[in-house]
Amino acid sequence: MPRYAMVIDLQRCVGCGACSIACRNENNVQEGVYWSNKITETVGTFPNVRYHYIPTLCNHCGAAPCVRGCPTKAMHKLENGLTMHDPKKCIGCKYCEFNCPYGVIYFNWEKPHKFWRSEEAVIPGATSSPKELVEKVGAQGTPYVNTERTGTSATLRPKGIVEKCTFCDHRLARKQLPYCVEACPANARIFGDISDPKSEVSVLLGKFHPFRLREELGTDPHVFYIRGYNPARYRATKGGV
Amino acid sequence: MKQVEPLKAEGASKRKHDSRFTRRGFLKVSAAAGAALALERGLSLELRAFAQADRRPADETGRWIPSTCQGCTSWCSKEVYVLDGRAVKVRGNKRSKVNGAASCPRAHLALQQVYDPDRVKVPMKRTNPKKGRNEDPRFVPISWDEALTTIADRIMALRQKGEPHKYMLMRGRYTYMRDILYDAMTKIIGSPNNISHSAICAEAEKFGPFYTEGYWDYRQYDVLNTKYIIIWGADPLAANRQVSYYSSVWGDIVGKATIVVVEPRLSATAAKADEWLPIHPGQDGALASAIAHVLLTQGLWSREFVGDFKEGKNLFVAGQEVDPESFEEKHTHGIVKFWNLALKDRTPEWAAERTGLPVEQIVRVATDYGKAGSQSISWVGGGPVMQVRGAYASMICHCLNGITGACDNLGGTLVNNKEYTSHFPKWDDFMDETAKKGSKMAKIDHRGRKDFPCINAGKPGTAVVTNRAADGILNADPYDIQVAIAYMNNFNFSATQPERWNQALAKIPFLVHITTHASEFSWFADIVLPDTHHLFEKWGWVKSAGNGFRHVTLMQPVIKPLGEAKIDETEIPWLIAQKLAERGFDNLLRYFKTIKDPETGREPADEKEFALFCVKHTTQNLWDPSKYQGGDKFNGWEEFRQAGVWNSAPYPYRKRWSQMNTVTKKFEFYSETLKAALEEHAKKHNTTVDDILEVSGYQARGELAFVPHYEEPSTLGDPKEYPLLFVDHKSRLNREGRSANCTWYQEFKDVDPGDSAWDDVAKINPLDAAKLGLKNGDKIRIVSPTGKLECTAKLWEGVRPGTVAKCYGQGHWVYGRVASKVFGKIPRGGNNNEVIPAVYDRLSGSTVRHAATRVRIEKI
Amino acid sequence: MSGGKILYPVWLGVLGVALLAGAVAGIYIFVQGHVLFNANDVLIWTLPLAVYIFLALSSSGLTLLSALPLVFGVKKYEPLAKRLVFLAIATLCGGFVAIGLELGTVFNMIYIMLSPNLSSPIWWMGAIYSAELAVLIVKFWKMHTGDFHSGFSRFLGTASFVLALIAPLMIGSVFGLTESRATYFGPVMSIYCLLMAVLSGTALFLLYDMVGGRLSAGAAADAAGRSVQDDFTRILTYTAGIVAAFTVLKTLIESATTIPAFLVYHKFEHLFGAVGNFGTEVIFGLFLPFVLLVIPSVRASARGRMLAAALIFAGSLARHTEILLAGQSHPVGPKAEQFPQYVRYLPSGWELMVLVFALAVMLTLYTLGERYLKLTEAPKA
Repeated sequence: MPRYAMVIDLQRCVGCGACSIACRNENNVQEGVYWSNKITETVGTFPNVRYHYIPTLCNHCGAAPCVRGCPTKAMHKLENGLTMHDPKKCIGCKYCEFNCPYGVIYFNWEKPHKFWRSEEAVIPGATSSPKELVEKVGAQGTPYVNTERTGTSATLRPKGIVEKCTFCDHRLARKQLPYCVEACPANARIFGDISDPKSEVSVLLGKFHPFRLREELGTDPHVFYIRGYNPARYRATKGGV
Repeated sequence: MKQVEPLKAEGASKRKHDSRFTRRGFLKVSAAAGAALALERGLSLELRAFAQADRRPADETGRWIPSTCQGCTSWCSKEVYVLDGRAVKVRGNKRSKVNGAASCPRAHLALQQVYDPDRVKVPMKRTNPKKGRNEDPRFVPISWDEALTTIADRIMALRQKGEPHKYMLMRGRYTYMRDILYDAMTKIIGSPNNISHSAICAEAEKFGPFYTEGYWDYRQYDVLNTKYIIIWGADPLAANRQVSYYSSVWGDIVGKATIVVVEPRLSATAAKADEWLPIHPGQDGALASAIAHVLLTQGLWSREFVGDFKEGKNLFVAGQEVDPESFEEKHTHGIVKFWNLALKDRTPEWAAERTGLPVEQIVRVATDYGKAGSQSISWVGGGPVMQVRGAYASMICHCLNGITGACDNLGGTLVNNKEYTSHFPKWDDFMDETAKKGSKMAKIDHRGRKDFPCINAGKPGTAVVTNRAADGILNADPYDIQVAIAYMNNFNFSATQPERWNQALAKIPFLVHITTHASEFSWFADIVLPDTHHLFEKWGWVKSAGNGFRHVTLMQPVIKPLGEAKIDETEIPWLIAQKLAERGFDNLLRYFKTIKDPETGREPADEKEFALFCVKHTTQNLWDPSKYQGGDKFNGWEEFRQAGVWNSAPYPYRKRWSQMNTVTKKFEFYSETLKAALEEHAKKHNTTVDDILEVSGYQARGELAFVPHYEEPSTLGDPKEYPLLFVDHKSRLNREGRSANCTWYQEFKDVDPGDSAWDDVAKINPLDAAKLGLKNGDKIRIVSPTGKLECTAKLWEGVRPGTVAKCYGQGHWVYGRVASKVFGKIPRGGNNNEVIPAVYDRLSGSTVRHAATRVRIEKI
Repeated sequence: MSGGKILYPVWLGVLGVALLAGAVAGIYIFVQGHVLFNANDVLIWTLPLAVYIFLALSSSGLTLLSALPLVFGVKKYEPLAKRLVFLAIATLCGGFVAIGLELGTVFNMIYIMLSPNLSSPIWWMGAIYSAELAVLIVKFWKMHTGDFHSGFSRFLGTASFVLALIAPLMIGSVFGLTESRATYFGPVMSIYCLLMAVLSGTALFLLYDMVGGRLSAGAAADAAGRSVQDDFTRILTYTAGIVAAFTVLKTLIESATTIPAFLVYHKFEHLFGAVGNFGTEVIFGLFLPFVLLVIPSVRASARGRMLAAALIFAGSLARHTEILLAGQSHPVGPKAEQFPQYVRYLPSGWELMVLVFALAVMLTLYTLGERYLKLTEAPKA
């Protein structure tokens, strides 16, 4: 059984957000919910200033607080390391969301894709209402809904439950990479089986000094970061007094 | 004749439930039977795209079909995932050697564009005769027949009055099918007024390369082989050009090369650069002059490309003139004149005063850049050049590539590879007397007037002055415009000082807008025609270069068009031509019928065939093995269509040395080419070059005009009244100002460094904010001498104190429910163009965006 | 007392309207979703959960008080035992209403039984309170049928006492076990919840005894009654003192620590305002009533007691709300990209309706129980 993990090479990352938009696309994630997200920081004072970007997603922790706290085991671990959510068992207590140190779990406060349920057209007769358009193209939820997003977080989520990144379990099942990995134009995301010493992720983790988010909490995250967003060089100096 | 390849059995069995796919058998018949099945042919053309068989994982039920993204002018080859007849995903077309599988974030937004509820689905006409910013046009749906009949009647009326020149065509985003609607139709009707958007894009960027190395186009940069990159006001990780390609290799480049970004705002690229040079806006020419000065005084020029002093001793000493005879040049022309006229006093200390950059930094960058030798790039973007007097900044920044010998060299700056597409048949024979007379009239945009030299590629008076057309229309100068058709443009949003356009458009008695969305421009239209979306619904092709290759990439309908949308550049002109023919003027239709299917030699029978034949005709050299000239080879149209892209041969380095398209064939530091062009223009107006320069607003006189040199920025606004300089920049999510109606645009707007999701912010340095008493989130009004806009204040260290930086793309007051706050009335955020004055770089005709104006900020 | 006779139907009418409005609101919340709350993905739990915590803890407090006669055999309080148990049941029912309306998919509750997670404090909390409710009901039934002292009845009393001790600890650990939210003070939160249970339970009982006593029995303030009230007032005073000391200590630690989470926490915008580091609800809902109770003349007066108990009771709800919100006021991790640095909160009308509904259920049960269930019944000596 593999143990899946992701390595994010910050030097390759260009901070474009394609991962996050592609994730919305692949997983039919509605507005306001970010399975794939980022932490940005502008460091320094003009003119010595840089902007940094750390892509984030569910860390699929080895010791996942969300799983430990879930009263019904709706949030659970798979043998391959994925932290999964079973919407059938979810009572909507939101404790996982409260418990997650990484802010990657979101709650469906209402029926998803509100935008697409509107029946208003901006120019009646000549433009469509969102609802009309969805129906016309024969879709559900959104016109571009990905009906291949099957399994636990199927096409459209009911209200009253939580959701989060699943490492694209539905794609893994088809031997495809998670879509954020596929969609990253910079090849900054490397996915694979960390239990296999020959996998690309294992090779990279041995080559660099990876870090993980909030490691001190002991949650054993399985998203690893290598290198730096801005590896700028400078002329050697000893500083001065 | 090549037949449509049948679906693989496995794919077909999966799709049995889908009625569209049971028509496969029919498709074959249809393709073979030709014109006899004209009725059904429209359907078949749409569906041929579905019929391609691509290898895919067993559980994928849709298919990936190639097309092209025109979200920016990178023009990447893409693949669209079509599932149950719906476009569901977009990715890079791995067959392209320019962009490969990489896809920048904006490509995904296209899905929300094509499936935008606010797209115009049927033709509509205005029922409110009054036109204005605050007049609701009260659009009502009409039939295509009514729309086309009205348009044809208007055009016929003009021709009958002998005033066909009062017809005008305005072009926005185009493919190379443009010649049909933009050129041929305008000329055959009889008007000189085909006005493109090019001058609001970045024409001045092409000026420097042309008058130094004879190349009028955007460059490609050999980044994987370079050691040092200076980027001038370009942001390749966010906007234009080859964003996908540069994103895919940047992680490797930053480990290998030193990257320096010159821009007053910390751009996405500056965030991943070794040095950020937050230059005082408009002073790029000063920095470039100083770098050139250092390169020469320190002896860091390329001996191989430029040559050397005959005595071997470097005589370039600050402040001292050099005898031209002492230097022997190889592949360049006029290095010593250049030094004497424009460089000898341009010391780093001189530049530090103007640029606001420390002397040490200027010297360090210049020295290290020079030490990198010819494997170095001076990358000229829109920042320094889309300015008043930007033409010379374009020259001085670009000419560094000549000094280092990086021009046309490994690890340097490259031009386009050769490609072999062909033009449409000539239409001169279809222009009748009325047309010939009309099309010789002066153009509405004033190009070629004494104060508008507009010298595109060495030919004065040939460059469009897009933004000036508004004044031409408003003042009926040289005459009034009666009938105008415009497509995929939005000049009263995308051009500076857009209020002039509002007034101009309101003045045109009959305006037709072909557009996907009811935009600000449509608000003044009498008829709005629903356009197809280029990536999903259109036939066409475009070409672009990057990674040492050039590709020609196809766009094809991968889904059924939304509603009754039709293709702007081919289908709609065909339909208009039919209506004109019905009214006794059949020249246009007869011309269109000369564009035949290269495979069958058949004339197009309807607009759908016409659209397809236009593409096949112009790309025949790429896919027809009997016409093969180079690059990727195909067995025929169908194979090319399924690949979606043709790649050129790899780049041939150094083939252009001393073979350049300049007067001297050399890289001209003293531009004989520019001299000839300016003298030609002066002669035309019976005056001197100095006079031309004066009336066009340049500072150079005499010989200085022919060498790259520093000119002071010309910025509007009294510093006392308007204390801040306005810095405009582009978003990595902008699809040319058309994506603000996508919720994903708003949700992810903060991928632009310093910006915020669901907001439109002006980035202000905390030092300035403290002076102005502003805090994060304050609602503010930015006021310039020519306009104002409202947005939100954002305190950010990544902006130069004394400037305010704001991203272009929002401030739509129409376009859709998301883009506007109240559709047709109140904008969401503010449009930068509202505060930027309509001023020009008159040598290139470019509309100025940068260092154009000073502003003040008021708290609301 | 004619006043009482008029007041009673008015009171019933008010309760009826509140119940009806609450039920309608509850249905609407389940149709529309929790978007009706002023909660979001940063402020995940808001007023309805605070109401639950408050009522559940008060119920535990009442159960703990009932243990005085039922477990520890303090004869003097035997006449209060049945009422205390009933009040605990009614209060807990109110609490369950609040949490029922807080859960996104209350109909999936079956999985609490089918798919229990023994490492989840929420599961334990739910399980223990469910068990407690069951035990209390059976115990009440026993007492109602006159069985105060049988072995089983005594066992039920002990069981309810143990459950009432553990339940607040579990509520505390829901917060305390959350590694990423240091401002909830880890295990200390459990102790705090236990103290708060005794405090609010005692305050509630005193209030009820004084208000209910006046409404129904009129001049029931006999000597025995007064003695009991004195004792319970003393318990209230001591508990308030301990909670106040605890709160001061907590506030001092919060002010002194350099742990980043606390630095953000300091910037929390108090729902009810604050003086220095102390929220208004702490000053007026804890310190002030404690001071009042310490003053002998105030403590001796019925009005003084009532005021103090009322302040403590309302203050407890306010403090639970504040503590709940303060720990969530800043976005975690990447949520800071989309949400402001500090999220502000005011309950929505719908959230207030949850409060109204929960209190209405509790008060209706009190009222009816008082009327029909002979709550003052004591074992025959």
